[in-house]
This record gives sequence, structure tokens and C-alpha cells, in this order.
Amino acid sequence: MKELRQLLHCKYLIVKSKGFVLTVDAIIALLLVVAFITVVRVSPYEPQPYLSKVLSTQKMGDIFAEMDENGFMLEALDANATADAKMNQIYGKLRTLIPKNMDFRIELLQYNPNILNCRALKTFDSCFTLNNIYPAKGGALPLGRDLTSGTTSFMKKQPPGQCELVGAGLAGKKGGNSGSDKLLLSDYKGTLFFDGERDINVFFGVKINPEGEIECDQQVTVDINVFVPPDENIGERKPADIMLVVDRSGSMDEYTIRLADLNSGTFNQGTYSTGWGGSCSNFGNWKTIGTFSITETRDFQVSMENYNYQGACRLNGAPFLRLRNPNNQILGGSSDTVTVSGAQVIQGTWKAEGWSDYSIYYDLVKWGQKLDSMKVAASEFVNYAEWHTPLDQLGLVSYNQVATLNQQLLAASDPNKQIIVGKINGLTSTGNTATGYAMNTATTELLSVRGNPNAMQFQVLLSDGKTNTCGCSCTDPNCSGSTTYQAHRAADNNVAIFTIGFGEDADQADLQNIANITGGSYHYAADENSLKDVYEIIKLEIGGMLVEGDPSRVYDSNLMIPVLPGTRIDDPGAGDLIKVGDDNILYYYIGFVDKHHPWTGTYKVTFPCNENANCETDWKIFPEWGTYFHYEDENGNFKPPLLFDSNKTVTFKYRDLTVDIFGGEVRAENEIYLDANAINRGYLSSGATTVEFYFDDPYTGQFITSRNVSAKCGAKTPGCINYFEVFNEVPINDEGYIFAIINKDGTIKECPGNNIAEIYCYTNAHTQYFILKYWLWYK
Amino acid sequence: MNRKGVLFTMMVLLLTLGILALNAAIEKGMTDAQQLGYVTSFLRVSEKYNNVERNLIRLDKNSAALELNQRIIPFVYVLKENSLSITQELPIKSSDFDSYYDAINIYEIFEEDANYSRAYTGLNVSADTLQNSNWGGTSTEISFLIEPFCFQVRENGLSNLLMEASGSGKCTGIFNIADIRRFDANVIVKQFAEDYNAMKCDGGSCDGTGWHQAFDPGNSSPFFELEINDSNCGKCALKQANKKLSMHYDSAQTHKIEIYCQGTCTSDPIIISFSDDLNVIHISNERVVAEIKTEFKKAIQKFYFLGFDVSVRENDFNVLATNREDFS
Repeated sequence: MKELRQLLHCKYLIVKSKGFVLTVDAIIALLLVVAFITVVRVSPYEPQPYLSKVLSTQKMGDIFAEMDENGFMLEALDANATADAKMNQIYGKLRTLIPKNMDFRIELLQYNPNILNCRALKTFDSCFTLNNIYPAKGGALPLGRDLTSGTTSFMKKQPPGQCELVGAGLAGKKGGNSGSDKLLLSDYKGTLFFDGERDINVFFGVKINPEGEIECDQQVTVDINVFVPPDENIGERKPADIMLVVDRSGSMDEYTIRLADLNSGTFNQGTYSTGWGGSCSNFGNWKTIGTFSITETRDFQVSMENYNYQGACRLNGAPFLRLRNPNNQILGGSSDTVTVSGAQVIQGTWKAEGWSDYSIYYDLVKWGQKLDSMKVAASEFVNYAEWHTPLDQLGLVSYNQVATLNQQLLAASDPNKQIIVGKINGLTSTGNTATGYAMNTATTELLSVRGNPNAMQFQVLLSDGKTNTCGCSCTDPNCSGSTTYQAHRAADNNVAIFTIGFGEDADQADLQNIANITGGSYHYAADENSLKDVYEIIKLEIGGMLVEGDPSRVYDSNLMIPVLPGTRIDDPGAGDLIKVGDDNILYYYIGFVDKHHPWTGTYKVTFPCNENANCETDWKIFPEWGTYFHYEDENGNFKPPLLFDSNKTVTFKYRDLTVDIFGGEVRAENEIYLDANAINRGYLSSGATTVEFYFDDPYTGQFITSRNVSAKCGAKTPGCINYFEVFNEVPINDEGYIFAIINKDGTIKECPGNNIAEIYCYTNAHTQYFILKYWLWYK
Repeated sequence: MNRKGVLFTMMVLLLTLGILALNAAIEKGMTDAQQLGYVTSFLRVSEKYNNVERNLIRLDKNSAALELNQRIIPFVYVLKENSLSITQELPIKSSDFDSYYDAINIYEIFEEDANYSRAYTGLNVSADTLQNSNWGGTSTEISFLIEPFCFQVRENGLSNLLMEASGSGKCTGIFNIADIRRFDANVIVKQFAEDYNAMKCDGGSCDGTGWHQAFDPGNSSPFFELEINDSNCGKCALKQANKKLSMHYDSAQTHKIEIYCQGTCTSDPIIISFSDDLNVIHISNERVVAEIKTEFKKAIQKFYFLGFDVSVRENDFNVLATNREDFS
């Protein structure tokens, strides 16, 4: 009956006989009416040959339709069982559906297609292989009985092969950093330490270099200080005579002061001609890589920092940078650095143009001379309002291999300050370094008739190098030209010397020694901003020393700075790396601190690019949150530790290459195509690298293929577009677990997480076709 | 037992009784064996035709049959009383498309064979189906008819999905837009590297209130709603308020929504247009997911593949079942 109903859905059903055409409806209606009319006068059911054929045919049609649609056949054929067991299952089901007074027999044939042959020849023999003849089930066919037989077909449908993403984008580098030793500040605070009320004014300060933003793998110098200010109730301070002593040796000319990051990105543009011996010439098609504005008159240098250049013109010094000044005149062009000095410095908008025949990532950086930075910072020091008449006097000594008294002590009036600033700005740099001579000249001036006998006397000494001119052995403390000799001379005359090491080449040990001997303090400055900060701190320190009668002092103090995962302390300075429980701590023993003895410490820290912990935040705090200062009072009582509440927060930029398999397609056996995407998700640009594909394991598995990934800018950098590269239809010649790994060799320093993607691709069995034959008879 | 079961049982009973009566009639000499031969032929033709329809043509909502069907068709569907939902990656994977053409063409060969698959049945099966280039043909699209609305799902190549009036002669009636209550379209941007940042509605802004109407059950005009999910997209910058657009609209007008990237970017446009049909186009190497739901005002009776014509014939009594339009 069900078949009759379903047949109604087909478009046409025609029974043609003797020219008579009946519709389906007519047939059904006829059957039903005849049945209804005759049923009342028919004797009880008694199967007859014709009737049994009709009944059997109808019955089997309904049964197979039901078994197909309710999923029974799918489950039976899909089952992980022997052919015999499958047939038993089908036979058992039929047995429950076929009347008990009937018997039957079934046979099942399985055909598997060969798709390529089938497409080509389109015949049954070319398409199909009789793959399996299942064991027949049911009784033997009875002889001499009326049998109803038939066939029905089934499709065991199968989808095309599939690729299933397996945790794509989540797999981490094997053996990479787990970050399991992450410091939990919530545990740290309140158990090891607690933050209490302070009963003495202790101020904390921090300076970092560079400021503003830092990058992974960039070393940061952190200057921290602890300062106990004079009591507010103290009266008028003492007057001060201060001699500024500044270095004007030749090294002060170096362009090592990073003034501005102008631009960054990637490019590959440039034409050239090849001459004899393979040398390049006629460099054309320059790329504009940045513009910048010049508003000052100081000399500057612009560099196009780059790496990984592997172009053809390496021997010619490529890649190249040139500048166009506001008058469209070109400077440079034969190296990756252009220096602009003297009359070349024109105010207005400048344009930077790069040349490279190979894809490079570049950082365009503007640099300044140390001498100019010194002039800026020292001038600010002179102009501090705290130096004022009638109390204070200021003077200036500069030195190279000789010391020059540029300005005798002058009352610190505003006009006089401008005189001194003018002398500072007029300095030029050349020659060697005679620090001792300069100290001698400054001390002599302080002790001269121009010195105020009621004033406290100071030198503020800046040096960028090592003393190499002193008239005798510069390390001999008995040599009058040595810094040690002159430090003792100053100390003997109550002259305190504050020293500043400017730049990496400064002789920090010597400068520290001078400060220690004279009761001053030593500070390091790496660039112009930190130099300004150092001068300001020295101002505060001198100010503290000018005030008398202040009993404020802390004793036996120390500072503990948490060192978080992903942090590498390159140089702890005077501190020590210790463990407190599971936590790493940078520990400084400080001792006592008072207005005359502020404490300063310096450490250098780097956040490696290839540490996952450095990909979790976009900023860093210095010193790390959770830094505590511990101290005792004058009676030796432990006081509640103080939270180091002066922090610098800077933007932190990292580099994070990732690979993502976002599609997989199985087109045929051994014909799989993957879609992958290499993305630089961080801020920093990356150089060229590769994505490699492996079976089973990205490190030990069978290599399949690789794709080159060109240099990329970082997705988090505004304006960056070229931060990803899609590889469509990467052919894979077999099924299984397939891994993609980017930057496998770790050449590019970047976050190692998400460098591996995984996909599982399998070629499915093809759709199978079944013929089920049946015979049915009354017992 | 539910009503359907009772009805079925009654019909089976009635037919069985009828056949019993028929048999009795035969017994009593009312007719000859020839008459019963017709009936038998009819049933055998019917069973075979339904067998073919079950295997390939009809898309059912029964869960087992649905699972089976979805193994080979290129999309995922959910068929309910009054609605049909289609989920399709656009562009469609060419392997999915090719595989479907393989399935229908191989099945045609299988059923037409007289020596193996129909041995001893006495039935003649003749079929025709769509052939893509792998099979020497030119077909690039497949369609599925929704009855009784004469409305179809058409996959026009790999990049175009349409819900539209069908021109098939197999329709039992003609399409009327009044039968459609609403279209719902979801576009899911899956890839991190996409950078859609702009939209146009009928060539202008999508900000107007006309594009942000709520569904009004009392409004007889068809309703359209689009929702864009770009939560996994790293650089997409679509206006939040316009990620969901909805309106009752005049089906005589064609409305068009374009999702694209403006400026220096890479994503290829997604274009959705609708009037008395719904058309989604995305030509790209990157796939997005389109989910299209069509809700009708009446029940769906049948959902089936339009590209497989079959005839089953029993020659002794000349009984024929076919879905061909041009039978003879």
C-alpha cells in the first residue's frame, strides 16, 4: 500500500491494455471498490497462486522501503561485522516482518565502483566490480511451488573524503615553554609580604631606557631609586656652587642617540644593471619608505635598519637609503645610512627612499649625536628654577684631552643662566678624554675667590668614555691627572661629585668610584630622555644635601622585584637573583637611605621574542608590579614593607608567526589539497620563512612539501596589510595526520605558540551498490 | 498507534481484503489470470520506481534518510514542516560537487544494467542524469525542487546559491511569492585573514531604518533578515549595527547587499540579492558559510533532486512509471 501511495508522487503512471488507459487513482479506486464490494461475500482467506504473487510482491516492496528509510539497511551494511553476520541481521529482520506462514530466501551482492573507469567508459562492466557475494540466507527454493521473486537495490552512500581540523592553531611547539611556573601575584602579595602604612616618607622612582615602547629581544635598562626627602619642616637650605663638567671628546660626535622611529615595513623594489664581475649599477625604481619633519637645526642621521637581505647587490652594499630634503635634493644613496649635518639640515618635510631588489623588513630610525643630547639635557639642568640668586652659583668646564674653564662661577640669575647655556651650545667635540684634568679645573674654580665659602660645593660630571689622558698612569691614584686622585682632592675640600655615564662606552666603574669617594652618586643614561631624567635626579639629590637637620633615615633596607616568566635578567647590577618559594626574585640589599644617601640601582632586562609568556600582554611594567621595599627603623624594628608605587608602563611589541590550516579537500585517493594561512599576529615585522608540511609529526614525521613565506608586517601594527599569506591547494599525496609548521628552525625570533597546525584527512570508501535478491513462497 | 498508523493499517487491511476479494472473484471465474497479472506488474513497477526514488531523488526529513542523503549532496539541509534550511560553504568545494555528479551518474549506470542489477526482474529501467565535464557533459548546476511551491534550491556553479522559482515542468503548480513568509540568511566569515570593512545596501548606506525593521506577523510582504558573524575574522571592521539587517520588502523590487573590503585589502565581495528569490554570490579562494532558511506559509510536501529522470517499464503488461516530463 505504501508503494501505491508513493507511486502517486511520480509524474505519470500508465497501464495500457487494449487501448484502455487507467490512471493511478483509477486503479487504486478500482481495487478498493472491488475489494469493498466483494469482501462481504468472499469465503475466508485461502491463498491461491495468483493472489500469493500479488501479496508477496506488495509485501516485499513495503518491507524493503521501510528497512531502507528507517536506517536499518544503513546500519546493517555499515556494521563492523562479517558478511555472514550482516546477512543474519538482515534475515532476522525480514523474518519478523514476513508472515509466519511464508518462507523466503535472500542473496546479497555488493558492487564497488571504479570512478575513473566509469567516467571514461560508462558501462556496467567498466564501472563495477562484484566485490562481495554475501552468504545466502533462508530455506532452499522449493520445487514445484509458486515463487515470488524480485530484486531491490541499495546504495551505501559515502561522502567524499574528509579533512577534519585537529586543534588547528592551538598546538604548541613540542618542548616549548609551558608557562607553568607563572608567578601568581595574588598569592605573592599578602603572604610573603604585606603592604602597610609608612611612618616615614620614602619615595620611589624609576626610569627606563628606551621609553615609550619596547620590543621583544630589546634590552631595557631600568634605573630605580629610593629617596627619602628632607623633612618639610626644615628651614631655608644652604647655598650651592655647582660646576657642570661635560665631555667634548671625539666620541661625543657619534650618532648613537635614538631620536625617533620614523617608519617600518617591508618592500622589494629596485632595478639595476649588472656590470663586469657581477657588480651592480644604475640603481633605479626607489621606493618611498617614509617621510618625516625636521624642525630643529641639529645634525641627524637616518638609518634603514634591515636584515635578511639576500639580493644580488650585496657586494655593492645594498640595500640603500637616500633622503630627499624639502628642496627635493637627494642625499646619500650608497649605503643604508644617511648623515645630514651643518648646512644640509633644512627645516621642513623630508622623504626617505629605499632601494632593495630583495624583500626586506626595515626600520627607519632617526639618530642624533651624543653631544647634542648633552647640550639639551645640560641646558635644562642649568635652567632649573631651583638654582636661583642670591643662593647659588653655576659654572662650566668642558674637556677632551685638555680641560677648559668655559665659564667661571656666576650667580644663578636668569641672564647668567643663558650665558652658560650659550657656552654649552657652543661646544664642539674632538680629541681624547682627560676626566681628571676636568675635575681638577672644576675643583680649582670652586675653591677660588669666586667660590662662596658658605655654599656646599658640587660637580656634576658627564663622561661618555674612558679616561685616556692624564699625564701619567690614569689608574694610579697618585697620578694627579687620575680621576681617583682628583676625587680625593675634591672630597678633601668637601666637594661632592655626581657622575653620569652617558652611553654604553662610559667607564661606569670609574664614575661610580668618583661618586663613592666624594659622597655624590653615579647614574647611567643611555639616551637623551634618560639623560634629562638623570640631571633631574641629581638636582633632587643636591637639594636634599642642602637641607640640614632632617633625621629621616631608613635602615637595613632591601628591595625585592618579582621576575616573571619570559623575563631574562641580563645584568642584575648590584642585585642578586634569588628564589623565594617558587618565585624568582631580583634582590637588592640597600642598607640605609637618607636625604644625603639616596639609593639607585640599575638592572638590564630582556623579554625574549621566542618565549610564549611574552605574547600574552601588550605592555610591560617596570619594576614589575609586586615590588616591595623592606626596611627597619632606627631602633632595628622591622617596618611593614612598602609597595614600590612608582612604575613605568610601556607598550610591548612582540612578533608572533602562526600557521593555520583552514581547509582541506580530498578529491581522490592520494589527491588531497590543503589551504593554509601563515599569519604574523603580533606587532613586529618578520623576515622570510617557510611553512613546512609533514605526515604524523612536525618534527620526526615524513616531509611532504613546503611553502616560502615572504617578510610580513605585524597584524597589530596600524596600517599593516601584508601580515598574512594564504597558500591555497597545497597538494598532499596521501591521507593521514598532516602537520603544518612555520618557522620550524626558529630562525625568526617569535612566539613559538600556534606555530603548528594539524589536520586529519582520509579518503573514504566510495559509495557501494547492493542488489538484494529474494524469493518468497507459502509454506 | 497514531492516526497515520491507523490509516495505514486500515488501508492495508482494505487493500488486502480487496485483493482477497479479487482472488475470490478470480476463483469464481469473474476474470482471468491476465487481470491479476496487471496488478502484479503494477506493484513491481511501483516498487522499483520507489526504490530508485528512495535511493537518489527524494530528500527526506526522516533522520536516517536525511543522514544518508547528506552524505553525498554538497550541502547540509534541515527540512521541517514549513521551512527548509540550507547550509553551504561558498564557494562550494569542487570535490563535493564532483562527487555528487559521480554518484548520480554511477547510479544511473547501475540501475540501467539489465544483466546484473536487474537480472530476472523483467523490468526495464531507463535513466538520464546531469553530466559535468568529468562525465563528458556541460552541467555546472544542480537543483532541488520544493513542492508544492514550485520553488527550488539551485547551486549555480561553485560560487552561487539561489532560492528561486523553478521553471521545471515537474512542478505541480506555479510559484507564488505569497507562499513565502520570510528569508533568513546568515553569513559566517570563518577566516582570520579576511578583512571585510564595508557594506552597501542597494548601492548606498545600510544605516537607514528601512534596513532595520522588525518582523511584523501582520505584514503580508515577505520578510528578509541577514546576520553576519565575523567573530573569527581578525581584521573585519564592519559596522556593528549593520551586521544585522532586516526588512519587509516589496518582492517586485530587487534589493542588493554587498559586503566587501574598501581600500587596500584582500577579501572578495559577498553579494546577497533578494526579491521573489534569494541569491548569494561569493567568488573567492576563501570560503564563507551561507545559511539560508526559507519559511513558507504552508507545509512542504516534497523536496527532491531535479536532475535524475527515470522510467521503469514492465513490458509484458506494458506498465510504466516515470518522472519524465516527455514520457511516451
